[in-house]
Amino acid sequence: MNKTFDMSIFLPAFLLSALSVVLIYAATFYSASPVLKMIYQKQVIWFGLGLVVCAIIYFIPLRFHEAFAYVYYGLACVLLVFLLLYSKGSSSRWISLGFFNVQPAELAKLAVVFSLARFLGFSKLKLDEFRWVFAVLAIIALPAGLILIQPDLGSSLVFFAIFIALIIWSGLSPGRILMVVTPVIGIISAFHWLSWAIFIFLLLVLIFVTRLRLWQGVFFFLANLIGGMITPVMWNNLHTYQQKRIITFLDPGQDPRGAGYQIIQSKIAVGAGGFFGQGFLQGTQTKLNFLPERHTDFIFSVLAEQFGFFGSVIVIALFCIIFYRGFAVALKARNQFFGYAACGLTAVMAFQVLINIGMTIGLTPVTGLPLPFLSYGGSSLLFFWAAIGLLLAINRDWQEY
Amino acid sequence: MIDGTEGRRLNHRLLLLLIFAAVVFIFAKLAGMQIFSGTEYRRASEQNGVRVVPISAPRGVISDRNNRILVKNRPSYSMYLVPYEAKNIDSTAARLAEVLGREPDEIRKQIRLGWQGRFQPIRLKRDVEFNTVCFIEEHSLEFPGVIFQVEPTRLYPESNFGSHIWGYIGEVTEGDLAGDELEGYSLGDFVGKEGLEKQYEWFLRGQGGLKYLEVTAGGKIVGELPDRERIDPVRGSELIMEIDWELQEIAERELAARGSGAVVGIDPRNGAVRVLCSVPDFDANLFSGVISPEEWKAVMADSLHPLFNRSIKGTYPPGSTMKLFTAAMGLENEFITEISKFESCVGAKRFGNRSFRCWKPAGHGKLDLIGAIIQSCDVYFYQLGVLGGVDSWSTTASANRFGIKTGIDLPGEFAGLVPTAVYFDSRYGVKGWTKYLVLNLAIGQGELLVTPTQMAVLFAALGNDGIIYKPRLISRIISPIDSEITIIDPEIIGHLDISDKNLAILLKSMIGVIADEHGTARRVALDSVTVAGKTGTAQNPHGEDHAWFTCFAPAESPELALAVIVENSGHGGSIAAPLAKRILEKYFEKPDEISTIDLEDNHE
Repeated sequence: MNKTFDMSIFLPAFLLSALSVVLIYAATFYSASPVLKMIYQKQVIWFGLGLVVCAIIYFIPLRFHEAFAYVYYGLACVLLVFLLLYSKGSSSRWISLGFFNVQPAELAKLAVVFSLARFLGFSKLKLDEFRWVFAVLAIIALPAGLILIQPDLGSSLVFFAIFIALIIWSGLSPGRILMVVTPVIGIISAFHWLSWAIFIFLLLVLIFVTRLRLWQGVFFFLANLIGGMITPVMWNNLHTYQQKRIITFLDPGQDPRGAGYQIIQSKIAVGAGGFFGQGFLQGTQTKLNFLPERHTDFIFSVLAEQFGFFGSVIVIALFCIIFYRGFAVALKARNQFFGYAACGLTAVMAFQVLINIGMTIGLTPVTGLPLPFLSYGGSSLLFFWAAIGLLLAINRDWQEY
Repeated sequence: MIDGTEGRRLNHRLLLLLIFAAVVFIFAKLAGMQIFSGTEYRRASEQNGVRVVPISAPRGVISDRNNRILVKNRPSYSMYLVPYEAKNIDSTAARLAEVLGREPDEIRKQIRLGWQGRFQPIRLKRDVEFNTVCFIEEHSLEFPGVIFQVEPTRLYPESNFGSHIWGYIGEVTEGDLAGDELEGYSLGDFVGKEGLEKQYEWFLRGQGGLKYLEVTAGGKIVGELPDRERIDPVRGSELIMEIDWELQEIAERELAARGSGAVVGIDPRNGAVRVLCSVPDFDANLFSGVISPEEWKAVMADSLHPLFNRSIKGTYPPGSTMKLFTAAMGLENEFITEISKFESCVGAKRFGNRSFRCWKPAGHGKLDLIGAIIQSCDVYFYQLGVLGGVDSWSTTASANRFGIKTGIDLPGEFAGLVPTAVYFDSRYGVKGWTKYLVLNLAIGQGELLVTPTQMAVLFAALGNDGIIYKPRLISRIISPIDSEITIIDPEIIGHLDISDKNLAILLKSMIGVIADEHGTARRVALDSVTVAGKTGTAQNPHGEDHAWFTCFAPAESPELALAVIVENSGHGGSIAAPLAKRILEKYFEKPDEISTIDLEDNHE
């Protein structure tokens, strides 16, 4: 290993992946299903494949990705459309290739990060112009929309996170960043006339302060005005069960039998872990099969139950090292394209980590987003190892110059 | 304004700061859960799982006016399947099918329909026999995920009696949920489908609760989860009926002894329904478990339609009971007075090119109005009908609320029909009928249709100075929360279109129907009170005539008005009137029996 290989990125990812095998083993140890019991072995294979993917990507010249960014994007969108047609309305997230399943959403994440990085890194783009934000939105909206109708709300939220991270990274002024997210705030505030009135007032102040061009100001004002007015109408036109579904998504405690059950069980598992945990294979929640989805979405609960606060902090710290190094790589990257790409990939990782862990302790909605490196699942693991490979490569390029 | 590079550097920090803040937040929450509340969570986790179990609310009970409880609840075992615990649903379904004697496919379908998530118990069967419960509990390892829950089920201790008053309940089906009507109900919930159960569903239903149970992986219930408070069910409101069960029992028994038909008894002073029965009837208990397809088929295939409530849905020609209103037409329009006479009755009379017969072949001779009512002389009323004509006849009928729903608090009441000239025009063509159609109408035959409830309401009004009260089955609704009582007040819905003077004439003749030596209902006469009434025989093109008797007593200040119809049984005077007499006898001997009623209070 030479100096250009950044161990501080590789090692945490390697440790997390190794831990993943241990946790999946523990999560399925007491399972009645023989298939489930053997699943940790599959994760070992995925881990190996992940390392291979990481190595391949590490050695592909980065220029290649820059050149093919839009081709990736096109391919990903074609795959997503194909998936929708292929699944014919039955909500499937995979395309089966016989021996293994591909999740086009994971490929789309990579493709979107590359094409946004290329778009934002285009040297002649005038960042002060603000109008490019709309182009960025359009690039994101297509794959995010295709994924949303699968339906996979969690994965489409990842694209929103990429978007926010990249426009912050681009150096857009905080006022304008706020302006971009006003429609989201507007829709939330539109449920009461008073909060909405205050919101509209603040929006006007913001438009004035950020010195938008006239048409941009008018656009944001009208978009918010119309959005705010139709939101309550749309809400009231939803069926009660649809409203319930949305409320349950935001507050699982409202549905103690469905999504809320998982949260209750997960919180019991996490809390029961205490400071040092119940010990390896000792958690009663996992042991007695009360915790659902514990080898996939709720793997963190298994960790927290068996290894306690101590183990949780170490794992989160490992993630934080990757985030920190990821953003550091992005800062030092040789050109804009690499910087944006590193930032976008790190943001995806950070978003999924925060949302997934937040879910297991009842802070965030149940979205079905896996925990990077730890959750069982090939597509997710391969994606994150690909991301690590790219971060390492971007770091190498910087070192070599 | 910050320059570009400076701005970017700030933004990079902002991004890191956002993520850092979120991580700190997660650390804080983890520390709170694992370090500070760790022991509580650990206790909850110790060998336990959480199962959320719905608790169904008992429906409100229904009592008669003397607080005798007639509809109540009994505990029963419902079988549920928790899919998450069942692991292999197909094999569990197959094993259950064996024990329950059903098809595995049927059970699998039920599981599919009832599926609300893997942790939500699915009700497979209500009212499981105790032996079956014991067997499954003993072999619980073979039935993973099968649990039992004690739930209230409707109990109608009187079986068939009163079934048309309270109707029945049924489970909410998939089809029911498709509409908006049953908002807030789940598949398999009980809902009132007929009668009071349907009409007062909102009050009777109560509100279901929830409890959080700690359960070991083996399915053993440890107890309720301490940090999740259970939501107690609220039982449904109690309904107090105006029905007098002693009278109802007599009416049911006497009517069943005579065949099919209906009896409706109303207090003319306020519209309180004292008796309401329809025969044939059904056993509402059949519906409160899960009715088997065979049982349902048997009920539906019965040619006598036992589920059809004749008292509010049966429409019949009123027969001669209508003569009182034909008389009212004559008096109100001043076509005649009480002493008016027509051509003598010789057993029949010719109108146009057809001869119309009186019911008495020997004829009644020359009668005045009162005599004609007392003896129910058809020939007299033919002549009165022709004198008045179709228009004034139907105007009088409509003005006295024939053809209009009474508004009784039961679902599905029929309005009956008052034919008019317009009706005949559309039915037979403008020139397709003659004015002699009124002959049939004048004696209550032909197209005019009434329900027994309508007749009871109108005769109650005849005895109550023409004031028409809306018939009411329920007098009070007692809420289970702080026993708040809602009193349902009597409601006047109109007046008969008959003057006091003419009402007195009609009353005099109705008394004569029972008291006069020629009266058609002589056998109804009671020693203690004067009864006023009118017999009727409704011609039935499909079979034997229907026997009518409508009356009220005491004649001067009536407390009970009755309408009795016995289908396909012949003459009102001989079949329906004696039935009414039994009820009146019971009613007016009442004061002696109050003590026995007291003894039966407050049973549940």
